Amino acid sequence: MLNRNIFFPSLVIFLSLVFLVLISQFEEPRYQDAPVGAGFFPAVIAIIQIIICSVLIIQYKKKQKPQKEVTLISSHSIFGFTFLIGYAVLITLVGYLPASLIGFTYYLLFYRVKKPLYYVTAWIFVFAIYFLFSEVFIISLPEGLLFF
Amino acid sequence: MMEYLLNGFADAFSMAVFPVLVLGVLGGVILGALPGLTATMGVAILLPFTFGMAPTPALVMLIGVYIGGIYGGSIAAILLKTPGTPASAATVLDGHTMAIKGLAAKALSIAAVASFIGGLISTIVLIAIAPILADFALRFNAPEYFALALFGLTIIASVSAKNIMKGLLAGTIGLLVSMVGLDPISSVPRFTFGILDLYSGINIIPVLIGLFAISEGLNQLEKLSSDTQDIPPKFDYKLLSFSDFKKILPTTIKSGLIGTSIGSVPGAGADISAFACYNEAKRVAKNPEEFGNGSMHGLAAAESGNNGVTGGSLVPLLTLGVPGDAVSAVLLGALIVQGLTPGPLLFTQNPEIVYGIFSSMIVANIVMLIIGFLGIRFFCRIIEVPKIIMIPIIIFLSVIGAYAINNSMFDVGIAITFGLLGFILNKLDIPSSPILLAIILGPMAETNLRKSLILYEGSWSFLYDRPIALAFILFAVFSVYSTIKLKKKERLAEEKK
Repeated sequence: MLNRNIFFPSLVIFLSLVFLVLISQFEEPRYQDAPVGAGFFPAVIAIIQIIICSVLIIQYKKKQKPQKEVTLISSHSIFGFTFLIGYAVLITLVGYLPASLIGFTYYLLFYRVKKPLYYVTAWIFVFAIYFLFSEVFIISLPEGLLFF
Repeated sequence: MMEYLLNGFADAFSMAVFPVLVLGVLGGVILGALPGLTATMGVAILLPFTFGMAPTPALVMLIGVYIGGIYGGSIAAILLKTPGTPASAATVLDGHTMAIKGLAAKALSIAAVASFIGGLISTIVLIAIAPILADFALRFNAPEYFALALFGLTIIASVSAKNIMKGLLAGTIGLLVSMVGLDPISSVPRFTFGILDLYSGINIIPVLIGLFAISEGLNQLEKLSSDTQDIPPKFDYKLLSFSDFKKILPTTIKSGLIGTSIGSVPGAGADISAFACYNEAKRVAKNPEEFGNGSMHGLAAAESGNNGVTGGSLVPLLTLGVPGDAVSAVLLGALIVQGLTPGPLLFTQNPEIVYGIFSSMIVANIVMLIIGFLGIRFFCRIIEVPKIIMIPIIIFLSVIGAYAINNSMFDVGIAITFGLLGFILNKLDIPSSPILLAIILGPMAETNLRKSLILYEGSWSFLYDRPIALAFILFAVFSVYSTIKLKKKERLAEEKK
C-alpha cells in the first residue's frame, strides 16, 4: 500500500518538475525591460517546493514510527464528493431552485432520515436562500441551461 | 474639531441617520456571516441604494455595512469553521476550537468585544492622527510593499501548527495558485492552459469557500454515522467574564493599533491584518502552545486586528483620496457619487461630513457590539442544528456563495476543487490557512519585487538602502527566528512529556 507521507510529497515533486517545464515554455514578451521575467517567481517557488518535499520525505524516513494508518477516503467522503459534483452539474442544468430541492431531498433520503421536520426545514432553507439572494440582494442565482 | 465631532454625534442619533446606521450594521453582520458574501460585496450591493440619499446617511449606512460585515464574518468562522469573509480566516484557528469545546457563546462575545475595541481604537486613531499616518503611508513604494508582503508571508511559519515544513509546502501551493493568470508586469499568460476564465487569475473567495467551508462539510460528512442519531452538542451560554476581559484587553488594544497601521497602508486589508495580529499575539504570548487550541488571546487578536482596519483604511481614502482596500475603493465611489472629492480639501470644504462619518463610526461600533451580544443566543442555536441538516446547508451556501461573486459556475468549480484539496490536505496534516495567506500576499510580493528591480535597474540594493523596507525585512527575519525557536521549545516540552 502506498504511504501517503511519501506519495504526496513525491507527487508534488513530480508536479513541480512539470511546472518547471511549463515555465520554460512561457511566451516571451515583445519588450522586456525587467531584469526578471514572468517565469522567475514561479520557477523559484517550484524549486523551493521540490526542496521542501524532499525534506519532508527525509524527515518521514528518519522519524518513521509504526503508526496507525487512517483511511484517506471513506465511503462517506466518496458520497460527499459525488454529491457535491452532482449538485454542481444539476445546478448548471436545471438551475438553483430545482437542483437544491432535489439535492437536499436526495441527501436526506440517502441517509434514511425519517423525520418530516428535517425535510420541511430543508425546503424552507432552499426557498429562503432563493428569496434572500434574488429578492433582497438582487443577485441572480443560476437558472439552468435547460430553462434558457 | 470637537464642535464638528459633537455635531456629528447629534447627526448620528438623528432620525434621518440612526435607523439607516442600525440597518447598515445589521445588514453587514448578516452579509458577513454568509460565506462568500464579503463586506466589500455588501457595500457594493448597497451603493446604488444611496444614490438618492443625503451624503451623511448614505456614507454612514455604507460604513455601517463595512463595520458589521467584518464582524459578521467571525460568526460563521467560530460556529461553522467557515469564515464568512477572508478577514475572518484567522478567527477560525481559535474561535472554532473554542466552539468545539462548548465555549461558543464565550467565543462570540470575545469576537464582539474585540471587534468593538479594534474598531473603536481605529476610529479614534483615524480622528487623531489621520494626516500623520497618511504621510507615512505615502512613503510606501514598491520596495516597501515587497518587504511588507515578505513579512506577511513569514506568518505562514507561525500558523503552521506542528510541522513548519508542511506549512511552508501549503504556502508554496498558495503562491503557485496566485500566479495563475496574466503576469501583472508583462501580461504573459501563466498556467492558463488556454482557459479564458483563468486569464484573470483565481479569485480568492471561491478558494476560501472551498478550503474552509466545503472541506469542512466533507470532514463532517465523514464523521457522520449512517444511523443519523444526532445528539446536539451541549454547551453553556457563559459570556466573556470581567477577569477574562482584563486578560485579553492588552492583546486587543495592541492588535487594534497594529490593525489600524496596516489598514492605513494602501493595499493591505483586514485579511492580512488579522493574520499579522494573530502572529504578533502568539509571538509575545506566555503560553503560545495554546494558540490554535482555543486561545482567547488568539481570537481577540484576530478580531481586533481585522476590525482595526476599518478606520485605518479610511485614512488614505479621506486624506489622500487613495483607497486603502477594496471596501474603501467602493466608498470612494460613494463619495464621488455624492459630489465629494476625497483628499485634503475634504477636511476644509466639508468638515461636517468628515466628522459626521467619524462620529457615526463610533456609534456604528457601539451598535455592532449591542447586535453582537443580543444575537449570541440566536447565533449559538446554529450549533444546535443537527449535523445531518447542517452539512448540506454549509455545502449549498458554499456553492451559492462561490457562484454569487461573479455569477459564474467556473468559480463554483474552483470552490469544489479547493474543497477537495483542503479535505485531502487535512488528512495529511497540512494546514490550509497558509494557502490562503500566500494567495493574498503572493501577487503583492511578486509585483512589487519586480517593480523594485525595474526601479533599481536590476540591483537588489533596495532590500537594505530603504529604511522602511529594511525594517520590515528585519521584522520578517525576527519573526521566522522566533517561530523556529518557539517550535523547538514546544517540541522539547512534548518530548519531555
